[in-house]
Amino acid sequence: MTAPWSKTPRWLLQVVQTWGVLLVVGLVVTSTSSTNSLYTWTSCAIYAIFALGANVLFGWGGSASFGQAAYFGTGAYTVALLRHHTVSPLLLVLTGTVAALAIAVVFGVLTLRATGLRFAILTLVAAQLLYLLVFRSTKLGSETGLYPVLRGTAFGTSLEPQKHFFWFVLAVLALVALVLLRIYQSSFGAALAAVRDDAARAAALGLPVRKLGLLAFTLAGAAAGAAGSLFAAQQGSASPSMLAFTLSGTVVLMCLLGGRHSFWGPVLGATVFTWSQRLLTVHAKAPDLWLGLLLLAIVLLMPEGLVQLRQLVRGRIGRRPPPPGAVATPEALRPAEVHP
Amino acid sequence: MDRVLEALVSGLAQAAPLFLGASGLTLIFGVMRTFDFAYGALFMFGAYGLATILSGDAVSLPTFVLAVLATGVAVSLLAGAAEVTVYRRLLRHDHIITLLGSYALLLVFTGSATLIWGPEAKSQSQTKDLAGAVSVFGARVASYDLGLIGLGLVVGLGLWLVIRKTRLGLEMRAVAHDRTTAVALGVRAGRVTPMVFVLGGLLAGIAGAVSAPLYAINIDLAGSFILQGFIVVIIGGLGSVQGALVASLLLGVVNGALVVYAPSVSSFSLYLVTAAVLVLRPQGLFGAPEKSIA
Repeated sequence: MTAPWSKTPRWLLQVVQTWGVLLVVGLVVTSTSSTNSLYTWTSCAIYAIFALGANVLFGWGGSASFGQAAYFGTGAYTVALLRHHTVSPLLLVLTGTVAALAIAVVFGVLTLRATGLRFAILTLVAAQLLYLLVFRSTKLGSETGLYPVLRGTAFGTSLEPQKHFFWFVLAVLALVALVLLRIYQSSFGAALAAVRDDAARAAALGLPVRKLGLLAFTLAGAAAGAAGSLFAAQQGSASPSMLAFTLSGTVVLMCLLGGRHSFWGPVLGATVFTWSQRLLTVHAKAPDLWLGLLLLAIVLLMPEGLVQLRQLVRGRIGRRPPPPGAVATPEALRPAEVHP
Repeated sequence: MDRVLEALVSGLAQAAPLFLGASGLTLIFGVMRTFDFAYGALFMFGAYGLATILSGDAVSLPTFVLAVLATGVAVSLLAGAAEVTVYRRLLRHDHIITLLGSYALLLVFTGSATLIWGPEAKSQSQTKDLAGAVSVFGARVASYDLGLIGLGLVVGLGLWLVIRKTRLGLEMRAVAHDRTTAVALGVRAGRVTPMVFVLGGLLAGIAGAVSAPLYAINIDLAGSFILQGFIVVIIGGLGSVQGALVASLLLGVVNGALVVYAPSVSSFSLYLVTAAVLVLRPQGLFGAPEKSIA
């Protein structure tokens, strides 16, 4: 007998689930956190968007890009450049996303000629070029960057109070996540996984490997741009550090930390990493040391990320014997009876 | 004419530590088959190490040389220890994971440096005997630059001897070329790999130590060095020491010239050249071509 809600499209269920979970989390967080902590939670959400995008390349597609900060920074600087105009925050985020998307297409076409390690380094080099260009440009504020960036007003309320801004970011996260989830579950997601698992075979099967790669790259860049736009509004400025290769490395590590082969893994990774970094910066003299050790431990012991923990727990606790007759062995595979 | 000579000498002097570092990186690539971000930290430790041994003082040349060697050995031991404890386990996973693991290790190393030496930059004075400048064919060149060029030649020769004339070198080349066959032929890959790391560590440590008098010593050295190292190795060809030599000479001289004649373009040039090489000739100058699928 099938459950009554199994008739509802799976997609709709996921939308409701996602919004529901984020609503609950949002309520809990806003009611229990100080403004400082809320700031960190907002950063978690922003990095979650960034990481979800980066994971399109890394987890879904199997190629590590060490230049995602280029698109994050593009989003941030786009918003910062528009700071003297009154633009609705949603439109600002959209503009940042589109700008980042454009840069991603350009860089993608150039970098996707290479694969694997060379691709990784090429993305790093491309991002560094952008970083240097921006760092040296006086029009873009050189080392200090551009400021102040105001958060604006959305749906009639000002986004300057951290609480309001947090809900705005959460809404954008929900939107981005659901769009990506849809794509993840589509044939595009399956095709990317095929390329990841065996590119030669995928090509032999007729999958347009280069085109898929470019689409994935663009998607990742767009998400990064959205995140960067939000980050500029959060910080109130755009600076070259948002284009640095350390940020590119960090976001990929967030995906690894959370679990790159799970859809929501990057969100978990971004949250854990951001909070760990915050707590370590406040309480330890050398935060990089502990962060590095944490990440090293994950790489060596739990390369599938923190989502692995759920499976480890399930393995020990939730194991029930299968119902009788559920797994029927086909006639041909049953061991032959022994006749003495 | 003088300016050309000055640019040339300063370029060659820049190329020397770069060549040392890049050689180590490319040798490590040979056995790891992926990049090692943490290698940049070994360079950083070399610089910190020398500054610690000499307490930043200006000393005579023999003392300086001894200190550089001591630092190099210390860093090489660290590299060897890292291989046995961390890299050996990292290398069991696929290349991307290893790459990320090396980045995490870089964080561990830079974090340790902050813990040991604090966040402020350190400095190391120039050695007394090479602090000035001399006149070469009418151009003024820093004596230390000449020292660096000399070092590059000596180390280059030493590396060549080790790689081409010793058994270790033969085994290193074999493992880099085809690990499986090498092991099948009896090469103890488990012995060769740590030795490669020790050698790489020695090179990075010496490169860092001799660079100590030239820069402010802080953790940023790790990042900037590894980026330069990647560029040289990519342009020269992954796994090739001759490639590292040619590429570092090329980059050193080009950068030296640009610094004199077109300073605003200088840091771009490195990245633009790398991007061009990666796009047009991905295997670099001396590397093996990569098979393409799509």
